[in-house]
Amino acid sequence: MSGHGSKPGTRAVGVLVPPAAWLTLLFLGPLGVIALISLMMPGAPVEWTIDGSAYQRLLDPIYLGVLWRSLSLAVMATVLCLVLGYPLAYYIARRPPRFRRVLFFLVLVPLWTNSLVLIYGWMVMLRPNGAFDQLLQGLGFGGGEPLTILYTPAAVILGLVYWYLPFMVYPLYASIEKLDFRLLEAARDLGAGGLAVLVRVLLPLTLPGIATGCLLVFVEALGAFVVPDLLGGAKSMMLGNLVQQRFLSVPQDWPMGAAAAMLMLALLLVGMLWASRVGGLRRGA
Amino acid sequence: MVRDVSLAIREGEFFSLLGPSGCGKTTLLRLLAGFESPTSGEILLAGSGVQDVPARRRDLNIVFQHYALFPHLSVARNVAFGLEMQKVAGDEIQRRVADALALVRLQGLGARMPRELSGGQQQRVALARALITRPAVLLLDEPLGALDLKLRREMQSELKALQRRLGTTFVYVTHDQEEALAMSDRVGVMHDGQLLQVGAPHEIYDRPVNRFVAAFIGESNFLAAEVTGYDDPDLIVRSAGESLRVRGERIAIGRRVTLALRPERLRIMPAGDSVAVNLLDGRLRECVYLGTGWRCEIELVDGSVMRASLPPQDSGVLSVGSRVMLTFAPPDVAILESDS
Repeated sequence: MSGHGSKPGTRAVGVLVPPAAWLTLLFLGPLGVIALISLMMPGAPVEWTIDGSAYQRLLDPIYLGVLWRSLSLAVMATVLCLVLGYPLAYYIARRPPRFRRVLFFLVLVPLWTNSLVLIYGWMVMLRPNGAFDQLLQGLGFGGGEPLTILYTPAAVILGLVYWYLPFMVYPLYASIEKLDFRLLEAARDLGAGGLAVLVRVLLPLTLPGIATGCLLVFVEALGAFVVPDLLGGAKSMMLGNLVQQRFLSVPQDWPMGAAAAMLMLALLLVGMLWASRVGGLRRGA
Repeated sequence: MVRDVSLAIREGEFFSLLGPSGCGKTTLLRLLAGFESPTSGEILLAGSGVQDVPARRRDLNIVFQHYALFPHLSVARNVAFGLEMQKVAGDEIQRRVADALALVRLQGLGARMPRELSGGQQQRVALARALITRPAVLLLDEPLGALDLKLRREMQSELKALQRRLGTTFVYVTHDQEEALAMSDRVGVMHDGQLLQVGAPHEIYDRPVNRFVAAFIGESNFLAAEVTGYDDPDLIVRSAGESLRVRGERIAIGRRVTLALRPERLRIMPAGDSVAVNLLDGRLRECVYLGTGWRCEIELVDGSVMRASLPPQDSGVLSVGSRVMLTFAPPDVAILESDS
């Protein structure tokens, strides 16, 4: 850069200052504070002495259970979003352009609707003798007993999938829409059946979209706390709820909450690394 | 859109579907491949109907316009795709992939990715990929469209040689009439969803069935004429105030016809020279030297302009602005029904 004189360099730095300041002040700063708190001794809410015991206490089976539940619920929600979202994204991508826009808009509508309204709506539907229950009983499930869906992990997964499906559909759609559909014809022409076309051509070529979609949903689902709080009840506590509780509910334990938050951050970084490797393999193809 | 197409392609022939873009030739090809289904009519392959046979089970493969190589697979894996789908054993696949790559002169490039190859090389990979399962018919959708002229010429003769060597039936879609004439055993000319004429290249060129074919394949001059009599094997017609002899089957006297004359079949003679039949008076309007010969425009008495291509040695009579006579031999005219 210096070979071209200082002017462009100076200008570049000038442009970078506001966002850098913004990031430092509002992202890295608070993050640093949380990281610091996570190393402190528990108090009410925090004792400013470094001891790192919060991380040790995270290994308690109760917290490991929360961690395990969070991971498994987030993974299940991600997989379900992928399974449901892929056909949807594919369907939309293959419509004529003007329909695509309308359909895509419809997918995004829940994102623009007040989240509490949506969740309370689900609560009404999922409670015993609610619409969902009656539908399932009508289909012959449950043997006459009211089905308990609300306040179970199943309700949490349902909510998470409902919530984060658009985050899956969007990158998938972007990936599928760019696809040269003659490649699918070429595969069929060469003797590939539906499954072979999917596994050998479609999925590998839309891998960046799959990775991005999975990452987005997983990140969001792992950190979710509104959905598990309202739909899951006490038995479906996730990491997000743990963080929230340790910070806000009595007995407060900020180092514990901060350590859980740091653990979540570490898990997300691993997920991002994975997604960027998977997504990056196909770059330029 | 394709309408009323009835076509029988012979085993082992190089058949071209020729027509301007949007004429339905690609649709016809996609019907054959099984990517589209006809709303009515049937498609037979080796004597049996294939309407209910999905594309993947039809014994024909397609070479796509822009190759449609799998970008995530190496050249070898691209070529092997068809065999892998047939669950052919691994060592046989390896052997046949090597053979197929040798066939298209791409030995040693199997490990490359498609994007690392030139357009011409990608074209060859597409060819190898489509040929490796030894289909009865190879469909080619403007396969040379994306290549530059020099490479096109090379690939044309290579494709033709390949087809001869393998004996595979080629159905070749193109809008390039020169390409179709140069490569094909037979050509089908399409326009507006209909098949206008099917025949050997020289038949199509010398005996076009209508004005569209005469104008689309090569170049033609058109003269309105009226049948006035017979002098077997010729017809006597009247056009531009002259009585002309043209060869063709008898048409009722008084019928209006159109004469199609190829520029290279026309000769120019000095005015006043009257040794030949079929003389049209005119004035030399323009003459351009093209190296291979002269290209001239002659304005006839009635104001219509005829184009003539002359060999280089014919320059003696060419003085722009002078009065000349145009002449042609009776067999060198195609007689078109006027209503077409």
